Amino acid sequence: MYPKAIENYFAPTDVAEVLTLLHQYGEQAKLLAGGQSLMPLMKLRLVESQTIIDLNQVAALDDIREEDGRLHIGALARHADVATHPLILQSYALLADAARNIGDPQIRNRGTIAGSLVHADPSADYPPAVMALDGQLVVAKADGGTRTVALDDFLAGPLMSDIGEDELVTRIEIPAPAARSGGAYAKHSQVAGDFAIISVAAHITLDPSGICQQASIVVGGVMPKPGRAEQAAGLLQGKALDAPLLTQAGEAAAEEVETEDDVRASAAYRSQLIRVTVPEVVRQASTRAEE
Amino acid sequence: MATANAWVGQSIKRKEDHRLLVGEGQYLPDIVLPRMVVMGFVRSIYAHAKITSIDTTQAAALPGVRAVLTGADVKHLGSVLSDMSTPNLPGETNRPIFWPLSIDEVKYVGDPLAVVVARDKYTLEDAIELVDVEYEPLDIVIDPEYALQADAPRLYPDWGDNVLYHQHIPAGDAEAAFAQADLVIKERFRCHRTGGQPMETRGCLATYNPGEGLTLWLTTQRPHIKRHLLAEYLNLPHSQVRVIMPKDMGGAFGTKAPLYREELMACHLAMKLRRPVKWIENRQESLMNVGQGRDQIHQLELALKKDGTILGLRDRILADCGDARTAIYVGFAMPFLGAMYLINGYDIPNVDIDLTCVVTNKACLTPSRAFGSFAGRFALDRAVEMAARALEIDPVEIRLKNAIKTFPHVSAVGVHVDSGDFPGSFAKACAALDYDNFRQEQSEAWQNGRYLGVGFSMGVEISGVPSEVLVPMERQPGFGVATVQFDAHGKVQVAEGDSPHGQGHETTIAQVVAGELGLSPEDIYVTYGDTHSGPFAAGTIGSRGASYTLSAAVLAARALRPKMANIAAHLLHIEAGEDDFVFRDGHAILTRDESQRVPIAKIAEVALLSPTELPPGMEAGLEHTSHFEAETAGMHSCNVHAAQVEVSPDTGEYKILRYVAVDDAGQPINPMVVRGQIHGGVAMGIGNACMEEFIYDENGQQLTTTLLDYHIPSSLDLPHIETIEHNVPSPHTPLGSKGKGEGTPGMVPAAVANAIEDALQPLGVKITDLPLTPERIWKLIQAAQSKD
Ligand SMILES: Cc1cc2nc3c(=O)[nH]c(=O)nc-3n(C[C@H](O)[C@H](O)[C@H](O)COP(=O)(O)OP(=O)(O)OC[C@H]3O[C@@H](n4cnc5c(N)ncnc54)[C@H](O)[C@@H]3O)c2cc1C
Repeated sequence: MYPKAIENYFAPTDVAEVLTLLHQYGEQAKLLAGGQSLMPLMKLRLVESQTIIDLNQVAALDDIREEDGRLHIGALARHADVATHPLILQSYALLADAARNIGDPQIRNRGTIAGSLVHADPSADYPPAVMALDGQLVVAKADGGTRTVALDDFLAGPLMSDIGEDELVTRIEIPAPAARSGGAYAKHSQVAGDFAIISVAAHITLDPSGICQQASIVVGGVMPKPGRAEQAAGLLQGKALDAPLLTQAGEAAAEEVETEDDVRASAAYRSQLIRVTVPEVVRQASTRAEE
Repeated sequence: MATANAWVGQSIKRKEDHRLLVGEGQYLPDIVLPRMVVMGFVRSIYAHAKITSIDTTQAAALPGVRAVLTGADVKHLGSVLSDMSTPNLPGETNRPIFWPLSIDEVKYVGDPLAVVVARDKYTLEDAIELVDVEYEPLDIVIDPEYALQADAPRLYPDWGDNVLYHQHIPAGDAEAAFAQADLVIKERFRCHRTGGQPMETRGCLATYNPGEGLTLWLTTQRPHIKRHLLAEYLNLPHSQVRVIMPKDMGGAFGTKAPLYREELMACHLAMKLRRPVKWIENRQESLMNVGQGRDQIHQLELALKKDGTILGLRDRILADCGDARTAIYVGFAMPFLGAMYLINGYDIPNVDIDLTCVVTNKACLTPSRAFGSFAGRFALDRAVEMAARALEIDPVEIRLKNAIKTFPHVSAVGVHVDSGDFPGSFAKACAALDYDNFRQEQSEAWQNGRYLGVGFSMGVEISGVPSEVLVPMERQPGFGVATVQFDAHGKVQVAEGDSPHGQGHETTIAQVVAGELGLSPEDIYVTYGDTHSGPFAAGTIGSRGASYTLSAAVLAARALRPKMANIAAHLLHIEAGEDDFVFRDGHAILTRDESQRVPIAKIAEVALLSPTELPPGMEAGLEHTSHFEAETAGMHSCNVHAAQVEVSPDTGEYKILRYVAVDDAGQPINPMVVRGQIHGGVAMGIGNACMEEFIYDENGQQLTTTLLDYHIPSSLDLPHIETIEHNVPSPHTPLGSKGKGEGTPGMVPAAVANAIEDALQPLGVKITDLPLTPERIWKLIQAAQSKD
């Protein structure tokens, strides 16, 4: 469990320098953020990289703030910071829920949001949460350009994301929720801090009378990437979120989101967890929306 | 004069902890020698295959590589197993022939087939990747029931079948018992493959020179036993082999008791290359090779009378031993002992147990705490629960009715149980759980759609294994041994024969020796682990610390008192002997006139630094070695555990709301240390019973070779463990102490399974298989509901 020899190690201090290095070293280079996915893969020799570009010295890549009606989370924001940031706890609690569920304290102190999203594990905690919030990634390119991409499109499949070898994710942007919005996230795993068997993220907006105006529900722990339960979310739209409706939404989500067997659980059990968890998470989201 | 031991029963802080907590422990990887090289293995990627070629040229040519060897290079060493390293059990045994590296054929994924030695671990891994192996896959056998079929592939063609070991254990008249029965419970129970996974993996460092011979630092529970097996295998005189367990070791749980092929390889290479050779197993190798235990199927039948009396038991046990290629235990010593301990705390006069151990294309079973009995204890305590339900008898009542009542007790199959008190233990467990009111609470909960349940288990756990059992079984002594030796400054070194690694001997032995000699634990230092500086003993196995080894230290300390008294009397110019003195507060004090006293440090000084002051004719020195052997064929600890759970019927997920462990430590030396042993044992039991499983797919690929997939619980997954003492001092140890910790995980699976099944009574679920994953519980609920 020792990596192959690393020929070059760079620790640039600004984004421009990162991009120059990416341009120069191309496909043989790997960006190192928290290292919580990259290092295990290198030690298992599933990833071999001659050049490491360490992002941890890059200034100002980890700030969290609201700007122009959007939440900006720097690429290097650690899971622990997201889990405890007052702004996030107040208006994007769903994201803090997800961050808090990741691994253990050591991993949360090192791992970063961009690292997790680029790594694109279908059972990871951030992807469904960020999808439910309609999050986007801002990507800087070596040629000086930038692009913005919705996480739905960015996630391509298991451990595959739409990132070029000369690109750097600089931040995640999330539209500020409307008034009377709330979200929640829950996961089922075999042991604490493990990847999800099934996880559910929900984000909803209510009108003053408690009618659901907007809902999104995303399920993690499914292949090839987290799945949107659109019919389930559609059922909620325009209705009061009473118990029978939530049960119906759970049924619909279990029906529409495809599940598979693996070492952790069977497809049938996953579907059952979706059926049971969707109502619970939506209920918690609506409680938060009313707060 | 004998006085009560003042330090016994005191929860003083562990002497070990300071160095461990500040990161100054001394583990195997901390040992570095000049000119040291590192060793690593090329391991099979197939479960069963012919090796058609191994090309080592590229690996050998890599700069920094010192050697590459294959099976052909070690064939001359001979087969690993000898009479001395194979269990000597009644019944029919087949003995596999094998070498430190596999030759021509591999038998499981992870099987070592070539070894590389390099200057550093990075080069080592590069070189391992460069060894080019070609295989021709063979048919495999993964399922133990399939292994028994006539058309199953054979692991060892010369055997005629895949049976490693078979034994029939009859006692009393089972047939008559079943003929008289009002109720027969007949069930197939399956316990999966799981066990121990110590924080520190295996490792060793071997060095050799023709003058001193071989020195091996080894992560081991039994340095002395390894020493004599190594001398035999490597054909070295015993005087030329030294084995040292480093001062600290990150756990073992049984996995570091066998002699492994890898350590033989390190010794051979150190001799061949004349360089120190180090091997540190990585986590994947560890999960591929060690800690795989349990793995049994029990076809168990219980015959009962209407009133709940168990008349007899039949069990057909099938144990999946994997490839059977480790020495000392060879995969079947555990199931054997498990069969002998099957009836455990129950007094069942008529039994008919048939044990078949088969080989399969999996890693060899290794010992894991609750040696061999985890599966059987699950099966029997489940069957008893089922009987209770069928007969509408309370689960506590049925257990009390059948529990061993009078001590000493000899079980139908010949296990001696010295002391215990099941009624007292059950009473404490029930009181803690408020069991009398629980049934009311439970039925109210059911009415509200909540599923609460309570489950019990009871157990008789080994408190050391006597020579009478260990000599025939493993050709090893069971005695405990310790040398108690004053230094010239009145401090005392205790050299023990075991090799503790978390059990707290440095503290508990210091406490008892201090108490016996009127000193303080700070005055005592305990050493262990080096075959060249400590007395010979079997090692740290089977909860023998507080039963055997500690008792030897007590006896050795006591044996010093007459000489100490004689020196004290001489220094006081009086006529007096041992009975005239008490040893207290660092002094030998004359009981008839307490103003007459001699510092113990002065006595030691006279004995060692200024022997001219000794009584005329007295030999200098102040030390004694005792070998303690209990005057019984078995000492045990009798325990009752109970779990209270709440189960979600929608998902099968459950929460252990309460876990109550009522344990018998005889006479706890340090109650905090005892609690730690129980906490660790229960945690391991919960992990094994509920979360952990070594999974092999249909191709024999192990799918759980990282801790991402092999799910060991953390503190977040465990309930608060409530420990309650119910001690019955052993009549056979000088202080009444008993060993504690080895058997503890065996208490867990039945307690939790019984609780879950109890909670789900309205749904009619029956639990027969482990592990107790939520998905398994959910499927049982689904199956029960679709039956309605
Ligand atoms: C024991 C353990 C348990 C875990 N448990 C969980 C869990 O329960 N839930 C969960 O969701 N995750 C879990 N993880 C994974 C963890 O969340 C990782 O931190 C995360 O997946 C990767 O983030 P990182 O910052 O560590 O990225 P790194 O490991 O440094 O990088 C990951 C990948 O992203 C690329 N990358 C990183 N930053 C950028 C960037 N700004 N732009 C472009 N590419 C980039 C890297 O080149 C690499 O390919 C666990 C990890 C471990 C080791």
